[in-house]
Amino acid sequence: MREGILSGNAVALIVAGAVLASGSQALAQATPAKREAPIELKADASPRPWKRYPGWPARDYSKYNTLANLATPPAPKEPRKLTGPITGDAKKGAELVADRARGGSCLACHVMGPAGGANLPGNVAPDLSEIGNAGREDEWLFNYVYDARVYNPETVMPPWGSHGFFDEAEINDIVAFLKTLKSPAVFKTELDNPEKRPVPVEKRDNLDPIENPAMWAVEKAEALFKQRTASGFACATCHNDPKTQFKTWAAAMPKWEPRLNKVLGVEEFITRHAKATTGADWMMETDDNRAMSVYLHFLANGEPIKVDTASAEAKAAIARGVELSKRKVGQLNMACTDCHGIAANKWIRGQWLGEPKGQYDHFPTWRTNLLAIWDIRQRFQWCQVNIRADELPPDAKEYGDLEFYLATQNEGLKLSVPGIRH
Amino acid sequence: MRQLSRRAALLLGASGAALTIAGWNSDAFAAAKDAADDIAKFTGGKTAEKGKVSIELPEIAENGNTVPLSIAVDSPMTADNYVTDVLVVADGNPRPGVATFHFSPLSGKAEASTRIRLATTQNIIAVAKTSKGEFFTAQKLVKVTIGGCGG
Repeated sequence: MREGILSGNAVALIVAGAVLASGSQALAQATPAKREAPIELKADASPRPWKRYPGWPARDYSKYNTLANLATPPAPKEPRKLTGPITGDAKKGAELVADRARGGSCLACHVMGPAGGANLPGNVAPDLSEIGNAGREDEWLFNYVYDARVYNPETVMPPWGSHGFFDEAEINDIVAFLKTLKSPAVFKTELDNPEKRPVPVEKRDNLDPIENPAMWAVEKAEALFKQRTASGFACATCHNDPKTQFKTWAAAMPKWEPRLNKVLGVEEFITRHAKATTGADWMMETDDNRAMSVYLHFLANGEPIKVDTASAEAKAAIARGVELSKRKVGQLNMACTDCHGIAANKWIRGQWLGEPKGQYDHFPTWRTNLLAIWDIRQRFQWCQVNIRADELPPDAKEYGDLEFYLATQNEGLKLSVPGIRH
Repeated sequence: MRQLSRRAALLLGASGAALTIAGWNSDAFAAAKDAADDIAKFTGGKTAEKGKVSIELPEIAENGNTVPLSIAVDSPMTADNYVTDVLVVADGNPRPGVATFHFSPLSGKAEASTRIRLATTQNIIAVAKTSKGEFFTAQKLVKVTIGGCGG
């Protein structure tokens, strides 16, 4: 297919390139389908089987839902009956609730009196510092920790017992600890109190090349853009004025792509378009692909995000994205909306949870704690692994639907890429 | 997890070297003592007076890798009264020494900004020395945050 295009009519290719780059919807609609940007239609845009990044948790979450697959065992219908009063070890319980290796620790969401030294607890969920005065029965406390879905099917609380984070003896210890909590938490500093902690403000100039190391990607991509492949073609062969031609393009992505029957984001488009034109091998989540994505977004900086939601297919894709954002996935049994909807604008431990608006306009972004550029699909993957669900390959159609929905939530925000985040 | 760029490789290499040296005394107590020693050496044993120095740092650092720091000293910066040096130490880092900034009357202002690396929640202490042999100091606690998702 690539051979055909490249050895065929070079003039047609140049015209196709110009139409693509113009970003003009009217022009695109007025032109026949044969002038659409050529894209690779068969091969995947990332390796199969997808292999998790080395250094990410290697655990296998295949027993639980992913965004592509339903596997989570059904929730229990009834609370477990206890044979007698709880006789756990409160001291052990105090350690367990603060153990970050067990799915993040209870302190991620709850203030719990002195547990963990009251060091930066979160406020996603109720303050439990006085739960010992609430007159709750042992069985209720046990089951709320074991699997709170028996009392509230929509709960954000992970099923700590059913999903194997803690065994029954450990939950007994946790309940014994909860029963000792009878007075308000005392914080060493105001910063430790999630109700008083100041919301983080991003003040760095992300487009300053000294401030943001990701700006190297713009230079790298400018060089890649002009670099001829074995085919003799470069991006610049057709796109001779990228600054003008791509002034708005990235702000209108992702889009519904009928030829692939899926939503295409900037990164997957780069892989498929390059493959079908110059033949460059720019698979998703490689340095070259990231650099090109940063560059194409960079050229559209300042442009408000506005995706094309007109077609029935686009509307259906966004509706699927909404549903996917609500799907409980992984061992922690959480949905996107649990953290970025119900718990948005609250603290999960010492981290501020943002709402969907503002989570898209700066991608790809520099991550200061990893010294790396991440595109939005890698961010999705990491979120999944963090809530202990198997991630999907970056070009999975489910991520396309989710990204499309996220873009609609960010409509009107002006692109500012590469961003800089922790 | 990381696609290593050349830049990242250099940075990781540099941090690796720093950690190797820091291996000698990595407990917090030793670090705090080292910080006090560094300050005593800088002031020649004099006690620095609180004030005149301001430190700008986030109260909560979302990660300790690159924490923006600005320091400013209130000084006329004239030939007969100016800030000569400002020492910055971090009392919880394996190696507490962060930087020493040098000024002259030609500097105009005694101000500097940089990015620093913080191993954990700790105090950042700045000590300014003037041409008249006075010492001023300020300190600020920075909490390096704890993530919600755990390991």
